[in-house]
Amino acid sequence: MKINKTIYGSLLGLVILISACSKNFEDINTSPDQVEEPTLDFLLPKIQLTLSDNAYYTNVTIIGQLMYQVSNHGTNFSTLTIGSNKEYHFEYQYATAIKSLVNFIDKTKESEELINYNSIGRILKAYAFHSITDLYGDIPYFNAGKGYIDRTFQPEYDDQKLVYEDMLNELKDAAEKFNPAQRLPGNTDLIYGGSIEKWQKMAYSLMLRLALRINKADPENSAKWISTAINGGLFESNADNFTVFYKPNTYYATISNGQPTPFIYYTSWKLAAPFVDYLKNNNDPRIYIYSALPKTGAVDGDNTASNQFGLPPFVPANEIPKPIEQYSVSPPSTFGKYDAPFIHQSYSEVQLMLAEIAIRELVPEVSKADAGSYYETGVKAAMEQLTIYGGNYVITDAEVNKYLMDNTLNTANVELALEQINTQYWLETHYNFYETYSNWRRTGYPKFDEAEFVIPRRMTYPAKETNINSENVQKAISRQGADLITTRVWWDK
Amino acid sequence: MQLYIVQWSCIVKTLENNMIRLRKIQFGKWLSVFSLLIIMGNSLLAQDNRDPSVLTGTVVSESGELLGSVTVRVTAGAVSLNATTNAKGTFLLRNLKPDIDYKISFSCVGYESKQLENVRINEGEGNSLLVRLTQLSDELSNVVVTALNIKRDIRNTGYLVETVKGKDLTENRTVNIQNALSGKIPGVDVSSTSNGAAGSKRITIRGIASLTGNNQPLWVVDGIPINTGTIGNATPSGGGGIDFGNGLTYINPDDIDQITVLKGNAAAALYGSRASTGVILVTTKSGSRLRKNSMEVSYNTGYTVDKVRDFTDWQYDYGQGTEGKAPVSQEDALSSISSWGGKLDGSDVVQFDGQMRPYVAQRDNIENFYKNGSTFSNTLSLLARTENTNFRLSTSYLANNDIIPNTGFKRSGFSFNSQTRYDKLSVNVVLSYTIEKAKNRQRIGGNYSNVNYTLLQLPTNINVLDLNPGFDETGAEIGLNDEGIPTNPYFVTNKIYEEDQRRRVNGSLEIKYDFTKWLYAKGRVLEDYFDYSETDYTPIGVIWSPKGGGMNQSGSKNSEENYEMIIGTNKNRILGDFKASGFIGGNIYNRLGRSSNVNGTVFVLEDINTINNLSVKYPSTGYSKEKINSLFFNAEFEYKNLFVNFTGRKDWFSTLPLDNNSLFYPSASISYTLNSGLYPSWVSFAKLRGSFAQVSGGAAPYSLNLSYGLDRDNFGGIYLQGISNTTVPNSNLTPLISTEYEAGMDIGLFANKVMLNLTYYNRTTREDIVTTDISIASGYDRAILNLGEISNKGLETSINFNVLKTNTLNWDMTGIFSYNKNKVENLGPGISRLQLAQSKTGNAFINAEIGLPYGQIAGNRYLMDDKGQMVYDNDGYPLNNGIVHILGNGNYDKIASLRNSFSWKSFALQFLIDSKFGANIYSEINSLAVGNGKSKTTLEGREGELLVQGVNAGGGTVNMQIDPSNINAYYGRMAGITENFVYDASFVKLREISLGYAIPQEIVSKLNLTRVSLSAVARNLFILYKKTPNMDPESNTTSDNAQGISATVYPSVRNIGVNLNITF
Repeated sequence: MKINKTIYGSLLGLVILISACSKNFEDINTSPDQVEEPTLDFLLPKIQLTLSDNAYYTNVTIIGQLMYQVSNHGTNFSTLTIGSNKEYHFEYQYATAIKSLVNFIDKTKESEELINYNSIGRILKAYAFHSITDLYGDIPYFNAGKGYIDRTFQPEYDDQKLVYEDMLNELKDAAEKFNPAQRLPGNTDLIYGGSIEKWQKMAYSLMLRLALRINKADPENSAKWISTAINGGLFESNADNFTVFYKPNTYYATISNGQPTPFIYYTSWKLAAPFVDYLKNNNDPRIYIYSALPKTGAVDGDNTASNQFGLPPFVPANEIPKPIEQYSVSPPSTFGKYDAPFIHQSYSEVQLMLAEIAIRELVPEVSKADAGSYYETGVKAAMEQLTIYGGNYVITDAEVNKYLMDNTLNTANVELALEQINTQYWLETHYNFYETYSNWRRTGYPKFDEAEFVIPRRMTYPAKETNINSENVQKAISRQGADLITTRVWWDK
Repeated sequence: MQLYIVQWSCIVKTLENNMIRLRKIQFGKWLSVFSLLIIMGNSLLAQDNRDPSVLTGTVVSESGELLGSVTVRVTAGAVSLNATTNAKGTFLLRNLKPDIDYKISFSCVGYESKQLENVRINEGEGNSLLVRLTQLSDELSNVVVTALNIKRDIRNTGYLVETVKGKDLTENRTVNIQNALSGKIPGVDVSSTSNGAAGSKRITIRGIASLTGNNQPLWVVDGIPINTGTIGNATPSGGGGIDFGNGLTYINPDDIDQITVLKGNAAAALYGSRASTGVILVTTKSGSRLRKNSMEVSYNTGYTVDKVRDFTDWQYDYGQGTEGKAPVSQEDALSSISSWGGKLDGSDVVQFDGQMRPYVAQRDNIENFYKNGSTFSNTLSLLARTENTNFRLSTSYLANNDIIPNTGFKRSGFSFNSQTRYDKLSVNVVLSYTIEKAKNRQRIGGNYSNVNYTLLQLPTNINVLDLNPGFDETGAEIGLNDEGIPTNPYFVTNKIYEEDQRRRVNGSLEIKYDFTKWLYAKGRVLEDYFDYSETDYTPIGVIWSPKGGGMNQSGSKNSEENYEMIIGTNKNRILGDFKASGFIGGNIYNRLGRSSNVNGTVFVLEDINTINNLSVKYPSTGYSKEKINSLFFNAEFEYKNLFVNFTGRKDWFSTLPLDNNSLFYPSASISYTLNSGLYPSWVSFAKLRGSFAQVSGGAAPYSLNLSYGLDRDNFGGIYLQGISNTTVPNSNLTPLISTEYEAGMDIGLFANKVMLNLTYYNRTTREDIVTTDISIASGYDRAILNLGEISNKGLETSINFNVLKTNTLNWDMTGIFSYNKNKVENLGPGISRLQLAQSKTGNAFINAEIGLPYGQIAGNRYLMDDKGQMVYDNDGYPLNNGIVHILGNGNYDKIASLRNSFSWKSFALQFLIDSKFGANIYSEINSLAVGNGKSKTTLEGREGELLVQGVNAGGGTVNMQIDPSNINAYYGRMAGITENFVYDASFVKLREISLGYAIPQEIVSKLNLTRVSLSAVARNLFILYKKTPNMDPESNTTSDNAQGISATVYPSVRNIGVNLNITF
């Protein structure tokens, strides 16, 4: 009997022990390293810092080369758009900016107090999406970034037309919903320090960009939205620019600008000859800020205009005329540094767009007679905005005026004027190559010799998408055309 | 009354003639000869002639213990009678006849069988025998260690349990014990991974059971479950990643007594969730096989040489350069790391370092760069046995130099086990401590700091020796190009540094108390602990890295504890022949992992390669904890030849949602040994068995909720935060469930000269917890789902044939074959495929596709028009069709091997032919070699003879010649077309040959030694059949689930070694 008691006692003890020990399982399965509720003022600055990819793969190594602004010694044109670099923008943007923005908007949508955060989120979301759709065409939009929220793992690809329509609506609605009585981010808003007025200008300026972009595909809506943007209020000076500043660090750090990395890492990366030549041939006063010879040791390279040479693009190694170190690079004190600010949209761009709208007489709000002054204001702003690199980089009024004298807008000839305006746009969007590329595809300016190298019209979808999300990719292909670099996106057709 | 004393010698045959040899893969010959003393009492009382005679007897152990359950079998010609001893050790046989020579055999679990021949029975009832049986050490018995360290008679199991003897493993002399299991057990697939001697290897049992979970079996060493998680794996990222091994290198093969493989769920049910992919039980040698009050010292030393095998067959007609021209300047040479240059004509041509060298083929780069590897291992052991205790203590040291210069692995440690019994109390102790140190483990799979990648990219006219030592007088890398990709291999081996150390302590204490003869309680505490530290740096001067180098230093501590309590009964006769036993128990499993890591970039001072000397440093920490509580029972019933076994277990998982974190799962198995009357006489034995079992499983910790973490950097005092998950968490997870049915038979033919086993199984895993790759447009890389279903159906067979047997010569042949049909049944709503991996080239994927076997190799094909004509672009280059097709299967489905063992006097020779069929492999080296002009297929068109005929995208005819200066672009396109590089990975290899020699006893005795044996071993000598050009078909990059991609990995090696064992 004694034995039996012992046994029954032990068994009972065992059962009680095991079940009692299962009570604290929730604590065991909570990571001590993480939190489950985020701090909005920590989320917002990170989102703003990640809008520019933080790395150079798609932007510089592909699009920068296609736009003849940078060149890599030894790059073969026919293999340039093969491989994973073309996929980086897609993959990075969805995995960081889109994911965070969708979550940020979701976290702020219910509370009136957070309406301003919500509006900022929606504006930035439109910004992030437009750079993706411009590059790849039809993309997951309405259901994107919702892996956690809706458990949508294979989002459908949406018609670019609908994407544009929604982005424009979002910008308008977000801009109108700001409420000064509610909570605002302060310095944690790295772009505008919580200024509602500036965010609204940004929303309408971005609306102007999107509206003009669809001008060929949908002129009616384009004009309607251009008017809405102008009436809403656009950037009024460089102080309104949509710029993200960075800190010195290495290329993969969120707080630094990864775009100039090739120039910092490798000796083979140079500015391209067409870009440097254009600056040089037109006596552009910006040249010394845009271009310098490579550093020798700790000494900054020569930035004298006459000594600048761009590398001829896509020329075999043994056919370049000069030793590689004699070609210009992005100066390590301006564009070529990890803490170089990234201008996502500028007052200058807005003015140049208005110049085009004026000359093409797209909307009644803008008079053709003002084309010249929009153009001049745009060029001047482009030169003045370079003071973001510090007091050493001031272009004087005299220099600006001389340049404008030599490069007056030819308002008599619309095509020539468009070429002038959009060539300025090409120069101004240096490093925001996605924008350079979209504007080039839309306008065809500046004209590049495409006899030998036909410039692609889009980037193909990531290989992983064709594997994992193949059904939706196939649907996009059947709507948009084959997944080739020669296929045009909706607004480019 | 007469007393007969029969001297008896029992050799192998005795055992073979018993059914108990079943299922043990015992190769080679028995080393020992056993002598027995039998005392037979025979009474001569006269009886009536008409009364058939009766034989009674008592069976006792050497120590006089009365032995129950001993099978007594009396045979004469076709007549056969059976009896079993009762609890008092006595048996009774009726209906015997006088004047016939009977054979009487005695067999009992754990005891040496005994056979008496020419026994005559006297008339009447006075015939009585007293038989003593000698207790066997486990090595010789038919006892297998099964779940929870419980020993069972192999006859009673309703499922397959297979063992490999330590001797068959140690002769192989491999650093990783896993390699030695290759080709030895049906259904066990050992994949060689090309990641160096100390890298992790892969074993799967009966196919892939979980879609994305761990599919490798649970390793249990002396009852202690071992954490065999791989720390790091080669990846297709730029740096490729380092495989730091899976910890199994800690096992010293010389310590192993036997390895038992529990393949099915039924065998594993009592280990719980972690056994859902099978269990490999390692039992180390113990002192129990010694005689009482004796001791033995044994020393083993072995030396093995690894010699690299070069399977490459490149073109050696054209050298470095572009457009059919050799480089004309150093700059030119630095910008064209490829073999698209001119004809190798012997002229002086400038190279990467500005030196002029003859433009001639360099065919021996692989032999020149990779060195002969070596492994030197030593084990000293002491075994002792007293009245109540036996123990074994061993210490060992192993030093390995891998085939890449400056890389190697060292292991030292000791292990101890003891078994003590005092009256009703027995105490077993296991303790082992091992230190493993590895140096310069290589980054493989990537394209920088990967010497294997550099060797592949090296133009045909560059001699790798000219790259030595890889750095200039300032310590800076002498690069092959501006980007430092590929990296100078000598810079990698001389300047880039890695070292790691793993210290493992594991131990167990088991206390068992027998309350009565039938009732016992047992408690066990098991601990497996290891700490791990790793340092690697890339110094100032490397070209690819951020200027100024970088460093990583990390450490982790990992522990797994199990507390277990069991109360059980021994086998008891309940009613007549009906017997039962069982136990009930509980287990608490705790796992805790902590890690800390510091990495950073840019060394401030040169040659000070420490974390403190970095200008940017990032610390991070990791923490992971989980717990599983379990209750279980086991019940066994026996009726004559029928055995039935039930188990049940309930697990509570800490990693699952609180309201749905437990599951009960049962198993049942049955086995039946057919009576000899039921089959023809040439069938000597037949057993049928069947089982059904389920096993459950949980998730990884912290898989339930979204969480946020602070960034390592802040923006001038503004903190940055984001979602930490890149995998979508799932708060609705439930336990997965794996269900298996198994049926089989074991047959002995011709007096068991031929032993045959056949097993069919069908296993399905449902509600599988799957971490699947999802569209990045969802914001996440992966998601955790609970919807997967995967099935494995298969057939396993082995046949063991004793071909020849004389007094001096023995020849055994063992053939094994297994076939596994895997199928991905379901992946959840809306998901048709899982992506398991993507190749470094980006063009090949490993997928799980619904309706197909797991691990399909997928990728693009050439673009063709509707009529099947090739579509070319305007330059005449081929296009890929941008559609992902299934191109092959990454996992083998048929494995066959044949082993021959010969022994002649003191010599033993064996060889093993191992083969696998039914898998494909995507070869990156062949793709890259087409891209860089080293492949022989790129010879066409160098002189302008490459004609392209087909259509263009618009449907127009293309008929043009490719300009020789553009053929690199043409072949560049071809390199990106996946279907070109998917090969049949089937192979037949001569896996092992070994020759052993035991020095004759008379010589050994003169030297005052007990035993001396010598052996020579060769592994991977020849590939008898393969279809993969330029590579070994067994060249998978990783040991994880993504099988079927071979990146730029280690070349394969051939091992040749010698071994000496001396016992004092």
